[in-house]
Amino acid sequence: MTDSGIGLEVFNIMGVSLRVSLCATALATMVSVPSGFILAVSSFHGKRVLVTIINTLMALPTVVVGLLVYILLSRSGPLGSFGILYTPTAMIMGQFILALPIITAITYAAVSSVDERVRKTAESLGASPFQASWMVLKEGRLGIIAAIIAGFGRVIAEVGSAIMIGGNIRGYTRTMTTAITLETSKGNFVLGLTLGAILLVVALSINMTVAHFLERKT
Amino acid sequence: MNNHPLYQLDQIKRLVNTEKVILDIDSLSLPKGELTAIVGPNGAGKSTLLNILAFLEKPDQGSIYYLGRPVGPKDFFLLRRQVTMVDQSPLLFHGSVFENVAYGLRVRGVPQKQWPRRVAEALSLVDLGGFENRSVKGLSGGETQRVAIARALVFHPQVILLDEPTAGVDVARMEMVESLITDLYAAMGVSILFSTHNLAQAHRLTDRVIHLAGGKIVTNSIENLFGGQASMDNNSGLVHLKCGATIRIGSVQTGLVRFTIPAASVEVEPYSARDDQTNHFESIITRMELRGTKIQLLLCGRINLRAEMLPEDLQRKGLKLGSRVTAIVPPEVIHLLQGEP
Repeated sequence: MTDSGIGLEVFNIMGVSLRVSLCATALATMVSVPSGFILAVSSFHGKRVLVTIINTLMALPTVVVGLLVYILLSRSGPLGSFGILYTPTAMIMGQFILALPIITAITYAAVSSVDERVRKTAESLGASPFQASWMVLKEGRLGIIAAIIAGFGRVIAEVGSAIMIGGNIRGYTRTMTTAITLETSKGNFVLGLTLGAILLVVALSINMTVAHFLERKT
Repeated sequence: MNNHPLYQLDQIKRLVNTEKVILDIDSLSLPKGELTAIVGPNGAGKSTLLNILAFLEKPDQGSIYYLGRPVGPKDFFLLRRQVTMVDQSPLLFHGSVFENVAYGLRVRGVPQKQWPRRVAEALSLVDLGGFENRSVKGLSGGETQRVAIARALVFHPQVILLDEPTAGVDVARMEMVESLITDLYAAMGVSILFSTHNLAQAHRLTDRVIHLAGGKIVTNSIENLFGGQASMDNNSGLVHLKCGATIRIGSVQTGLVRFTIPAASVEVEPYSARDDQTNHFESIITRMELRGTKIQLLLCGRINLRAEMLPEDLQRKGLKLGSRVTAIVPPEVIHLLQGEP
């Protein structure tokens, strides 16, 4: 393959990686941020047990998630009729499950650490319960953004579920991490390391953009 | 015109863990447009009472009436928009002074084009004009407190509640906060209630003082505060006041003595020369103001006293502004202040 051909392929791989990981992170954020917030501001029987379970799920091995989603989506599995195994959609499902506990747990911690006076102050200034909750969320935004970044970091760097349920199909489901695995197995260490460096640069760029945004806002 | 009291609290109880009573008020009526101090030691229930008056906390038992209307559980949110409370160590939200002060306007849906003018007005009331674009991060303690007060003033509340506004502050900041309270009261004419554990401060700022102890109201009236040297004569029970007058306080004390006389307990009679005896003070009525159902009198003589009377009693005794009267202070109504700052 020519240099320009490799460049195009790397560009394509990077596109798949970003598309899948950003989609999974966005979907997980939509579920996890409200869940983490509700968990932090409510009190109910068994809350401590639930928090412990969520914290434990942060260490969920990616291959286990890959296996579970594979069982679900395989031809004989309950969702096999959809025929989405070895597609980017399946990879998004796997990464969504991986990001879910991380974003929920860190959001929970971030909202729990917001000063209790924020809600009372907002209410004493006439805020409705929803407006006061929004202010609590806003005051905990640094922690919540950290949660989203951590979730994104987890899914962009994972390889287990991507390879098991994506299948590492060239030009379709091949991501940066699955490509690194493939090139390493082929003995192409230089290309593997180059892809690793590109992955880090992409992650760094995203984090720097978020940090710049935060500095502007606070 | 609504002549109902601002607040009327009946049989209010606030419990902790469904058994320990932290506030127990049989009846409390607070008139409109007054500057009122709530005084008591730590744990007396001052903050709980203020939270209930700010509609931030619901009592476990009892009834609240606001401007004569009974307050139900569903009314709390709407009434919270007419009343505001500033905490003893106020919290400012992240962002600029403008964003903080405009918050009350934002949550009320006030059109955004009005915000700059109203924020500037509120900031100038607390002497922080031009602070709009400052970040709250760089503000001093005093500035933080003033921004918090401006944030409470911006939506023109009917009542401002200040929870221990001078707790843990130095003398200079205490003087600043005290003058801010009196200036705001004079300038805006709103009802202001503040809590303090400093009785002298309460009396410096207002005549209407509610004493709380152990969650109960000890006294709720306009009070006269005095201090003086107890007589060296054994068992005389007399106190020589700084103005030169002598008063019998009902119990034997030594050294410096401080005490209060509730205005409602001062008896006012037309002057008679035969009244020249202990605890009878010849005075002139120099001020008369209708406060709620009673008329508040200012009696000037060797000592100045505030007294309260019903209009019909005043009429029956033929008293009017400028009348020469005898103010009688029964020793048993005098409340000695012991161990209170």
